[in-house]
Amino acid sequence: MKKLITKKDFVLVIIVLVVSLAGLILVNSADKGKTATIKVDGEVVETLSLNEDTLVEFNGVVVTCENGEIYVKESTCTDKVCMRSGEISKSGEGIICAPNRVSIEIDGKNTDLPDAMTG
Amino acid sequence: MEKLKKALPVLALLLVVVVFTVSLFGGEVKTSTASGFAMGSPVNVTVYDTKNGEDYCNQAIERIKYIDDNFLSHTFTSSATYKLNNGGTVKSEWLAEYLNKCFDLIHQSESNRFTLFSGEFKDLWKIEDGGYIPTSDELAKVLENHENSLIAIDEDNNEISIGTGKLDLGALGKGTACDEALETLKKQNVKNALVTVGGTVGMIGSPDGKSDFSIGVRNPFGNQNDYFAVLSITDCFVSTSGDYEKYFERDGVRYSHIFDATTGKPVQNDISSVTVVAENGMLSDFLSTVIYAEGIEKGVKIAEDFDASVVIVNKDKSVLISEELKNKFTLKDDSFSVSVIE
Ligand SMILES: [Zn+2]
Repeated sequence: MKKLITKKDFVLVIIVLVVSLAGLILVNSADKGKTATIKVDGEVVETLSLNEDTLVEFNGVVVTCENGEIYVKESTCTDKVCMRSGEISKSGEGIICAPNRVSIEIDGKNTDLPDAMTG
Repeated sequence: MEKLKKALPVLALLLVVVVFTVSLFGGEVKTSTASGFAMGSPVNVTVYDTKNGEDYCNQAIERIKYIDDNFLSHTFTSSATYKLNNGGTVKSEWLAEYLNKCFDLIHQSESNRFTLFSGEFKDLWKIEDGGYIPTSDELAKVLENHENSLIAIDEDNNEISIGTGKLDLGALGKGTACDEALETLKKQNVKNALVTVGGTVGMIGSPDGKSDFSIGVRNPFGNQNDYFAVLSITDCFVSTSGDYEKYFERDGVRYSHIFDATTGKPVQNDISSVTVVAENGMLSDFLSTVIYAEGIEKGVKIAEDFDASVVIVNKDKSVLISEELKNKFTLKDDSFSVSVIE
C-alpha cells in the first residue's frame, strides 16, 4: 500500500508548525508600545501613545502624558478626585472624573490586578 | 489529479495543525464588555463566554440608565426624585415598591442616623462644591425640614408625595443599579458576569477559568488605583462607603459626604471605610452606609443581623473582618493590621 503521508510531507508539516508558532509568538510578544484609551460617557474619544508627550482635553478634563506616565493636570470638576489620582503607567490602571464623565485607562490586560475594585 | 489526491491528506493535516495552533495562542475565551456613566459614576458590565455578550452588556447599561434617568437621579429634571423634591407628585409602581423596601431596611436596622432625605444636608454643607460650615441657625432649619420629610405612598394607586425634606437615593442607587443590571443579564441566561457602578460590584458565576472573582478593596489612604486587600468571592454584591472620595477639609477636620441624620452633620468617627458583602446590591450599599454612620459597635451588630460580611478600616489602619471572610481575604499592604471579628 502506498503511504498517505511520506517522510518529506511530515518534515514539511513540522516546518510549517514551527514557523507558524514562531510567528504567533513574535506577534503576541511584540512591544507595540503602551497606549491609553480615553472615554467620555463610555464612548472612546482618543487613544494616546505613552511614548509621546501630549496634552488633550475632553469635557473640561486636561489629560497630560509625560515620560510614559499619564495624569490629569487640570479639571473643571469640583471634587478634583481625578487630579488627586496621580500618575498611571501600568496596564489596567485608570483615572476617572465622575462629574465630567471622563475615564482614562491604560490598555492591556494585567493579570496581577483584581477583576474589579470596590471603594 | 493524482498529485492533488496525494496532497489532500497533507493539506488536511496542515489545516488541523494551523487551526489548533491559532486557537491555542490567538483566541482567548470570549468576554464582552460595555461601559458608560450613570448615578454620577462610571458603569462597567462584563459578560464571560456568552454569544451576543456585547448586546447583553448594552442592555444592562440601558437598564441602569433607565433607572437613573426616571427615578433615582436628583439632578435630571426628568426624574421622579427631582419632581418629588420640587413639590411634585409621582405615580409609579416601581418607585413605590422600591421606597417601601428602603423603609423596611431602615426599620429593620434600627438606625436613626441613616436617612433617605440627606439632600438638604448635602446642599447646605456644599460637600461637592468646595465645602461650607453652616451656622447653627442654618443647621436647625434644615434639621426641622428633615423632621418633616414624611413620605406618603398611596397603596391603591402608587401615588407618592413627600414633605419638606429632600430625597437623595444616592446611597442605595449604585447597588440598585447593579441589581437591575444583573437581573437583565440573568433574563438572557447569562451565567457569568461582573457589573460595577462606581465602587459597588455585583457578580454571578466566575470569570474565565477561575472559580471566584478577585475584588480589590480600595486603600482609603491611597489613590483611585490603590487597594490594600483582595477578596476572592462570587455570587454576591460588594459596596464600600468611606470618607476619602467626596469630602472637604477645614482646620484639619475632614467632612465627608455621609450624614448623621440626628445632627445634620457629616459623620465623625474612627472609621475610614466600610466594605460590605451581601446578597444584593441595594443591601450591600445600604449596609456600608449605615455601618459607616453608626460606628463599629452598632455597625458590626447590624451586619450580623442582616447576614452580611464586613471589612472595616479604621483611621489608625487597623482592619476588622468578619469570620466568614477569613479565607477569602488576602492582605496586600503590610502597613494595615487585620483582626477577625469574634
Ligand atoms: Zn474630576
